[in-house]
Amino acid sequence: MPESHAIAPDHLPSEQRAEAEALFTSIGDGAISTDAFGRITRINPVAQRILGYREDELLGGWFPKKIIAVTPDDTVVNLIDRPISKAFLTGHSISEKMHYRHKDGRIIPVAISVSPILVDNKPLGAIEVFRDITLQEEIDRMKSEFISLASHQLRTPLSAIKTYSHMLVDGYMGKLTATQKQSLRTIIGAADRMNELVSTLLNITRIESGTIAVTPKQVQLYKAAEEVLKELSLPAADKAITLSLRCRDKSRATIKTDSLIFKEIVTNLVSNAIKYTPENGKVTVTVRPRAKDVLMQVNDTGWGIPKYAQDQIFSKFFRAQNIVKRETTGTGLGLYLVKGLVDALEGTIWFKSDEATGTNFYFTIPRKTKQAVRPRRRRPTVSKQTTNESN
Amino acid sequence: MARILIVEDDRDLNNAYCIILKNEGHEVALAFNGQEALKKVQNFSPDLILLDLLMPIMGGLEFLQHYNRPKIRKNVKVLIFTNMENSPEVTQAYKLGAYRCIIKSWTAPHNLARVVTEALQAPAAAATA
Amino acid sequence: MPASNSTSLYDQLVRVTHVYLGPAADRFIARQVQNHLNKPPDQLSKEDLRRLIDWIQVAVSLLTEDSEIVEEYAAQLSKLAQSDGTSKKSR
Repeated sequence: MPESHAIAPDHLPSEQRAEAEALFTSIGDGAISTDAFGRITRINPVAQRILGYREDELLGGWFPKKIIAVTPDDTVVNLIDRPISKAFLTGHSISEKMHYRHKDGRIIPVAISVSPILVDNKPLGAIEVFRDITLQEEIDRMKSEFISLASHQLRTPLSAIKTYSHMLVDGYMGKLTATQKQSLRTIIGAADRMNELVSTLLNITRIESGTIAVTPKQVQLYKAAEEVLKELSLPAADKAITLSLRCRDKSRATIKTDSLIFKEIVTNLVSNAIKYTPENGKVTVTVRPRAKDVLMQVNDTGWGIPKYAQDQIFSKFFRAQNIVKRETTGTGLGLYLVKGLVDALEGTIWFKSDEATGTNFYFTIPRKTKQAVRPRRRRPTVSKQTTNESN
Repeated sequence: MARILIVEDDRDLNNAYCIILKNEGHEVALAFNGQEALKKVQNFSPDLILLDLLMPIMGGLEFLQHYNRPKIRKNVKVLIFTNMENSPEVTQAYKLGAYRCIIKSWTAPHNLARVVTEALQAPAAAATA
Repeated sequence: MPASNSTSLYDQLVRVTHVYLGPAADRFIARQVQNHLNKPPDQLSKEDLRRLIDWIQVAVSLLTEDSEIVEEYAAQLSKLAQSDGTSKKSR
């Protein structure tokens, strides 16, 4: 257990007690301390300002009831999921982002750090320090919006380059020589690579900055996969590759997950499959509902991944040598991204591959994502403190 | 031979699509944002609309919301043209009655012509959402 | 939830906790034992439990405002942790 040699404040001589008070009051972030029963013993001026309460409105009150933690959509957070509970469950400091409800009802995003107060290794209460991060979140939101907008703006001129080059090659502006056509195909290839790079870099920025927001809703996975295949039907048709979708039990293929992220994973795996499969090949997506999850499979009849390369396939910038020789586009960032997205959904991803027969990618979407313990109260008085209280 | 309205704010792309579709023998009208498109549909009754989503002044989704009023809209196929695949805007567009979504950067000219032909030939009730 | 004829200290602890926390008891206690004592459940001793009571009490105090229930639960735990059934641990 963590050790502490601190002396409880009440046992200090009055001069030192005054100093301890001053220390607490002077902390530049919000600070609240509780006793062993979760009652608020101290609250500094910054905390009062952030939350909109006076000291006398909070002192002595039960912390979880007085300081209400909510989700961004104003649903009260389960008591056992609150950082202060976790601090006592683990015995360690817990740092987390949360939202607190201001006295006037507003929701304030906060960054919290809470620790057990220990005297002679016994927990006497907790000390929580927190900061209003409204401005930080605003900046993060602006960054995401900018990235989104930049993505669109970068892709528009790329589309024009590609479209006009294609039109020239296809003879819309008059007949061209073979050499002129070949030059244009080079331009098209470069535009394709740039387009892919823009997409992938932007997605990876999202993963690395931790801004992948997962919004779980009920998603019909079969239908979502079908939409993805529809969007990819054109690139597949260009190589005469057959796309198919299978699912034996569509009724059990509905799961609570993030539809956009799911579709992004499937899009990446299928477009990879199309890219790394020769003409007239096949790409099949299978949806397999299971008891605890849904297993997705993307199978191709492509060039496969050589054995020596298989360990590194999910690392950044990796591309196997057999692919680099056959196919020039591709940045090696796609599977790194896919793994990040699967992780965000709390699934797992793996594959089997053979240079002779092709590749099978598998990933799972769990039916239940990580949830903290939710105690059910049996006794009548305890049952009032339900895990979704809003008093 | 059909009447096609192209709604796309990028002039180069708008012009390119115009060349491609005229080459297929279609009659083409152009608009550079949703507001212009709403004006155009008063006089030019399209069989199919190529609609970009992200445009200044009025975007594709807002256009669809106005265009969906019963008197104006008949059995017109709306093809969404965007570079934002798998975005919430695309889902919303399907809900507003879009027939299909095409990713601009994946669509070579011959594919555009083919997609338009397929859409025109599909029965009116076969909207894919 | 341990079988009613199971007599290990850990199982008794979970059974007592179950009255107050319901089906969450097992996981709650498992986490307490793992995090504070860093040992597997079957090695929980009465001495260990005496050390754990303070942590468990504080953790449960953040799940219910009713301090009487918290003290009642803590008293039940103290009883379990007694080696000879004499004086109860007081806080």
